[in-house]
Amino acid sequence: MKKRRRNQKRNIDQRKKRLIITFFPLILCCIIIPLFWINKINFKTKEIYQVESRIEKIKELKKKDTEDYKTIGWIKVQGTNIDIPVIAYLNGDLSTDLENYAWNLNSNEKFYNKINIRGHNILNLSSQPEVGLKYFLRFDDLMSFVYYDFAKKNKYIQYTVDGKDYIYKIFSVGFESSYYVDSYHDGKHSKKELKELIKRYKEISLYQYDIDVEEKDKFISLITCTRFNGFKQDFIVNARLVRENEKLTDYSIKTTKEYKEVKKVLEGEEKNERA
Amino acid sequence: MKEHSKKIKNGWIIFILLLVLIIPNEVKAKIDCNDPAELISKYNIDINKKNKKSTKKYTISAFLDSSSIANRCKNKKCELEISLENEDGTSKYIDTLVLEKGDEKDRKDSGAFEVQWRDEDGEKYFVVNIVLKTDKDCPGLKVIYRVNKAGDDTVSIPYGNVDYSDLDANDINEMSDVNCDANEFNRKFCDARLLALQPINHDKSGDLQSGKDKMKDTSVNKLTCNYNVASNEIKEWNTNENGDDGYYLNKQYYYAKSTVTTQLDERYEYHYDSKNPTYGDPLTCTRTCEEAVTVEYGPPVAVRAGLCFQYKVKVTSRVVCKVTDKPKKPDNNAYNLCTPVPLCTNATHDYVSNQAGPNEDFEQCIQKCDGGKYSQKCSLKCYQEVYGKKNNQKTKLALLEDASVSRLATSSTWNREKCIEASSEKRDQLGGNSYDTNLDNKNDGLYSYGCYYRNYDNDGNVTSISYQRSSTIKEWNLEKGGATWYWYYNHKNYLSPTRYEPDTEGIYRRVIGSGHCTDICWWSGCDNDQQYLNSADIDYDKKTNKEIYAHAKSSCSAKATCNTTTTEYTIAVKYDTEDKDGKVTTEKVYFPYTKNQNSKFTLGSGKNSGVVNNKAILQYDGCYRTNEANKWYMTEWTIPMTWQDKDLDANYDGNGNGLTPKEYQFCMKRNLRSVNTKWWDCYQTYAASNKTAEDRQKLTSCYNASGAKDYKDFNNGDSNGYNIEATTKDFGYFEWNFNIQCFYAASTSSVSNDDSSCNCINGTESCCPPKIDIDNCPGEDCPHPDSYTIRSVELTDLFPSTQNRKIEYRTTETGRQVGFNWTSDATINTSKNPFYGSSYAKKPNDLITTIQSLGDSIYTQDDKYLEYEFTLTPEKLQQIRKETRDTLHGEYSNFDYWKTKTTVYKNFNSSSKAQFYTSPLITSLGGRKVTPGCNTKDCK
Repeated sequence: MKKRRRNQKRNIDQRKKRLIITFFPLILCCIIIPLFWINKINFKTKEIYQVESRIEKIKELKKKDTEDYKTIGWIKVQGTNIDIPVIAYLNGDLSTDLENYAWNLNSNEKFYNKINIRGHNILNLSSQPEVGLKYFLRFDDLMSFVYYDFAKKNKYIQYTVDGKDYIYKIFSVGFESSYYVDSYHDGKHSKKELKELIKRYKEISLYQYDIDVEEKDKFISLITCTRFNGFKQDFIVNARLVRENEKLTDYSIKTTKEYKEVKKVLEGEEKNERA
Repeated sequence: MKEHSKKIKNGWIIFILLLVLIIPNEVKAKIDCNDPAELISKYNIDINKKNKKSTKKYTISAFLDSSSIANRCKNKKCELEISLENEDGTSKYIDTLVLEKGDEKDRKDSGAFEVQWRDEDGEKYFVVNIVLKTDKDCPGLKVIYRVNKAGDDTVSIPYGNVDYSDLDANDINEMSDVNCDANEFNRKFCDARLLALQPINHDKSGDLQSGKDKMKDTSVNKLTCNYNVASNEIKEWNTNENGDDGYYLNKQYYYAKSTVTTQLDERYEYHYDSKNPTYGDPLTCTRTCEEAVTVEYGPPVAVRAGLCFQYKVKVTSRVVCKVTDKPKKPDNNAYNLCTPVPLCTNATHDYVSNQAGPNEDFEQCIQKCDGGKYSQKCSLKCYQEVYGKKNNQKTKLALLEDASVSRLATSSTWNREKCIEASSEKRDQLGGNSYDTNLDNKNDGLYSYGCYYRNYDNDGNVTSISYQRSSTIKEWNLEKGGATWYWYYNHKNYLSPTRYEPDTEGIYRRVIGSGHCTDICWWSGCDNDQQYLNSADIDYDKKTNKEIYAHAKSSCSAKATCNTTTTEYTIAVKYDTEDKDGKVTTEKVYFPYTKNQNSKFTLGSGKNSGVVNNKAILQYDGCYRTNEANKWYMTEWTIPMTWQDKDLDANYDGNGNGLTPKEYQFCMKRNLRSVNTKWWDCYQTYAASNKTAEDRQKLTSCYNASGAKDYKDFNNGDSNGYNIEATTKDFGYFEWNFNIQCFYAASTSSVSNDDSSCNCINGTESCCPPKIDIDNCPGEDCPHPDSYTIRSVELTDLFPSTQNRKIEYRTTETGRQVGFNWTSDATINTSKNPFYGSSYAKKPNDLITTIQSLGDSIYTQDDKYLEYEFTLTPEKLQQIRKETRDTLHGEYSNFDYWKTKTTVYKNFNSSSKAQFYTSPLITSLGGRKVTPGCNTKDCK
């Protein structure tokens, strides 16, 4: 009897065990798969950038404009300290007493299909840029985009001009010849010019962004100085305007062969510093 | 009333207030826009501080109208004073613009004005360029102001010293005085100098032409020989007859010293303008030269008529020079390089571009801090250092870059020496802009070269500076510099992220996109046209001028070498002859062989000819032989030669045919007139060659006894002055002139014996007067020189008389002195005597030997020695006697008669063959001439 009971119990345990082994993966799949799809749906639909208007700030700053410059816009870059006014010079002196500013060589406050915003990088010129230091007040923090992890998380630029906040999606980050950058003009660009620029920006980019870019889009380029590769290059972040009905969601990126070169520099600098 | 008054009062207050409010506006509105002074008063050259945080930013407002100023200043000169006002209210005077009179188009000051002001730290300056533009308050007036910062300051730097140590090393001893003990030459120079200065001072420095190494033409040093020749000197002379040391009993020493500054051909050149060098003053060389001259000449001469004598003169000089003031070296301070600065104007700021990085001060700070790693530590440190300071213009982060142009980069970050090296080595290889990868750490640099050059107005004032690029410069003489290399491409080591390129004017323009900065730019500064604009010009001049200096220095020393002036010499003898009628003829013979004409013979300095075609020159050396013998001169000259015939008669016609040349001797005519006979007597009595030493001791006594004070006192009224004269002109380094005079004495009388102590018994005692040698008798008592002495002798002994005198043809025996025509001096020129041929005796003395050896056998050898053959018959003898008796009147030996009257002897043949006398009488009597005879010197 006892033996029989023991056998029955053993059978029951074996059945339970078998049942657990059989259904646990199924239960697990039932849990994970919905989570995956939920997450995936969120990745495509969840907005990762929240617009904070700078229209009022521009108005306030305009009150302090001088004969030499005027405030024409505001630039804000996701994940960085860059949240500063954009000015344009007017006359005489080619410098300003503002602490934090970027500038547009075109003093017209109109919105153009291609905008070049320049800003100072004084404190983050090295080949091993720092990220997000509190005293990075101008475009110093733009150099954070050389790091893949940073670039993967931060993909939006906000430019406020002409009474409106414009949001751009970053599609290219890279180093460009200073000579070439100096040749940029400010104002309306033809589609042919934009097509060439898109092509060029993708060629130099450290990352391949999973977004569609066409010459009919509107663009913004953030330009700053660097000594990452010596004196010959500027650092440039290019973005296109968020299209109509397009969400400020995340999108994937992957590194390019250009990034491999940059990584060598980064590692080389690290080794050198350790040495 | 009060109210009324109050109203009135209030009304006046209102009126006054209105006036106060209105009048200024009225005044302001009525500005005379044509009056610069009023404009200045109102608008002034107003320096307004525009930015309160900037302490050194200025804006100049100048409301000036070109046309109004032109009108206002058309007839008078206007001045506008410009000053800058600082933040604290202090002003700094900058400049005064002077507006010259005249129409605008003709005035230099119309249009734009430029002033400069150096700031407090002296590094930068602003250029205030005022361009006239319309002013709103004065319609028609124009004003615009520009404050443009120059890219760089004008660079003016000394350009290094030149090392002359290699040349200076050769200066040793050049400046020192002569060391008399250093060598034989110096010793002789010092001895001569000492003797020239004492006991008689012959320092002739005062006779030198001012500032020249040359004696005055009028400076002639006259020297006379000492008649009172010391007995021991005569002995020495006689015993050293063939040696100069014994001969030159007269020696005089002269000395002169000159300090001459010579202007050399060299002058330094300075290519302040690459194409048109500026030449410095000619270089000078100051030398002090000393010359000591020794003039040596023979003593007086005692001669007899028909005899010959020699007279020689020798002049030697030694020169010592030292450079007392060398050519000056090029002034190192002359090598100043000034690189002009580009200045620009542009109101539009089109040239500005992104300046999104730090300035150069920050970069330099980083370089010093961590070598360019831009670590956070250094970045913060440098940021604080460069931008963190308040009240400092450097603290401002430039929004835009304003460095529109710059001078081409030859900055301190660049290796200037490397650049120069590249300039000299590469410029011919590389055309235009070329990459040069050979310079250390400068690869990838792009270079350009070119020249700055100044432009001048008609008055020679610098108006502007231009620059010319290499492609054109290649037409210039690149060897003379001009090419300065400039690096203008962004080099990885150059601290500028921006790119500049030189324009055609060499102005380094910022590249903006596909274009360049469009400023209107020009070169400024370096107005001093005594400054170089191009380093390569300096390099060239430094090298060239050092070579010029070396050459000048060399030529300065070389000037102390041989004088190139040709030196002249003369020598002459004056003598009197007296014919049978007592007629005295004076002749002065200059040599070589001219009568009564100053015949000069010359020696050129340094001719190195080896042979002087003039026998008057016995020897010459030093500078007369080679320029390398640059310290001394020597010439010895003499009477070259005379010709003497068998009658001892000197012949001066220069045609030596048939005469015997007497080299280096002058032969007196047989009818020589006596001269200086007292001296002759003393000399012959006590100093002749056959006198003893004891005799010579008495010579001075003889002179003294005569009471003579001058050599002329020795004469018996028969002096013809100094009858031997030698001169030299332009001798030696200082071109000395010497006139040496001496005399000969001649007498036809026998020497009297005035020595009472002499006991002349046998006629052979030393005090006995010499016997007159009838064979050589020169006096009036002697046979006529054209006569013969006929003596019958044995053919085996032609001169049998014994005079205990060694004769020429006898080596061991003595005999009678032979006549001239039998001596070797009468050697027959065989070319003139073809009939005899070589078998016949060439010399008369050989003939003597031949004749004596043949003896009487000469008559038995057929016609071998036969000259004449005729057979004497009674009829012929009778005819001869008759001729002798009737025509010659018994004067058988009357040569003149035979020769001239009856032509018994006559010239047989032409001058091309042997000539001899023959007798037509004998020939007419049937004589036969077998061999044309010519056995004497008179064969012509």
